Amino acid sequence: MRLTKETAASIDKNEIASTSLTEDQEIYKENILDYYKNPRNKKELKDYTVKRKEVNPLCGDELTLYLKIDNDKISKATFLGKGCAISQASISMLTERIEGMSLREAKNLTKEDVLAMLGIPISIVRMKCALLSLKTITKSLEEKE
Amino acid sequence: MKKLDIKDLHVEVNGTEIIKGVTLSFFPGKVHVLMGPNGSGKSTLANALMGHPKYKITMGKIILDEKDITNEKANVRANLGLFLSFQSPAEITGVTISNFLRTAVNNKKEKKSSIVEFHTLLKEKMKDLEIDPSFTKRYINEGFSGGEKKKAEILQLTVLEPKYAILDEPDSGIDRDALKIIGEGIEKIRKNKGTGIVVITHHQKILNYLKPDSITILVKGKIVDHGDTKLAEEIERDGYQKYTGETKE
Repeated sequence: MRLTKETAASIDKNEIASTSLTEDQEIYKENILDYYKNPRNKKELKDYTVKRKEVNPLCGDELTLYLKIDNDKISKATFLGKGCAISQASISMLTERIEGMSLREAKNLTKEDVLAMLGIPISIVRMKCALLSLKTITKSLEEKE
Repeated sequence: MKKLDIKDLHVEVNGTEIIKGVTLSFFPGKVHVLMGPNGSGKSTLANALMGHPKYKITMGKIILDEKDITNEKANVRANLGLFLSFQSPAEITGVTISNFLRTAVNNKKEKKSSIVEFHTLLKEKMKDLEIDPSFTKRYINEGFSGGEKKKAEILQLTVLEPKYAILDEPDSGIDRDALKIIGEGIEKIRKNKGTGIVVITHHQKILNYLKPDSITILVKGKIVDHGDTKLAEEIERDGYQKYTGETKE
């Protein structure tokens, strides 16, 4: 893809959503920024069952996921990482979401679930950032098998 | 036993003693009404209970669920579950209702709720109180009408879910419809959360929505009478002349 002025602006790290948002979407945007600034579950887990690192080579987002699994249940999920607000908020929210889930439930999480959780329109260029979290979780669970 | 206990409380404002030895107990899930002529010290008592620095406790104790809070600051009392709604709520420019309430709620909880979770809850409570959703973005009480300010106070009450709530004239300056909404809002939190309600009022009307378990009359900083709903009716009819010795015009 050629980087025109518009696309360069749309992958600006600080820009979460370029289109005008509804009142509800504004709250979701604020929510994403809050998860980015005050991430939940952002820490290394020493007694993990699975550890997995994934990157988005194009934009430089990085995630390392730690899962502790007891009796086919995710008892603890944490992460470390760096990158844009969407990628980091997305994994932080997902770790909260999957804690307590069975492996099957976690495997059944879809792209739509993640997008609904984020709650704002995600442009095509940012889709990889939004879904890196899900990719990391899915791959970790495959690795576990 | 769980209760808010006031023991022989004396309170001074700017060197003048206003509360001259008050002993009272408020219980969870009960409605206690505090009445008295203007200047009898009702608001002073409320502010002293909450820990307003202008109101100096010179003698006596305040015990919240067996914990002595007489010397605690207002924020500590709030986190322990005490709540005060003001007679004339202050306007706070620059702080939105939603931000203020979320900070206050998260301060009390170990597991912080996310912005989305909090907004879902807030919207639900605002719907109950018939407050326009756009209010979340507005600065606290800035440009609110008298009735809107009172509703905003009750919104705080329903979101914070305190153990004991002191409501200083929640019914003053509002129309009948708003009175019903406010009265029912208070009753709902009492019923569902077991909040102990202390209402300071001059009117009997709000008692149509809140069934008082006891009524206390305060005159010149002292308790002069206790009673039930009948006492409120008597006062509505005859005023306080029985206690003050002054005749009603």
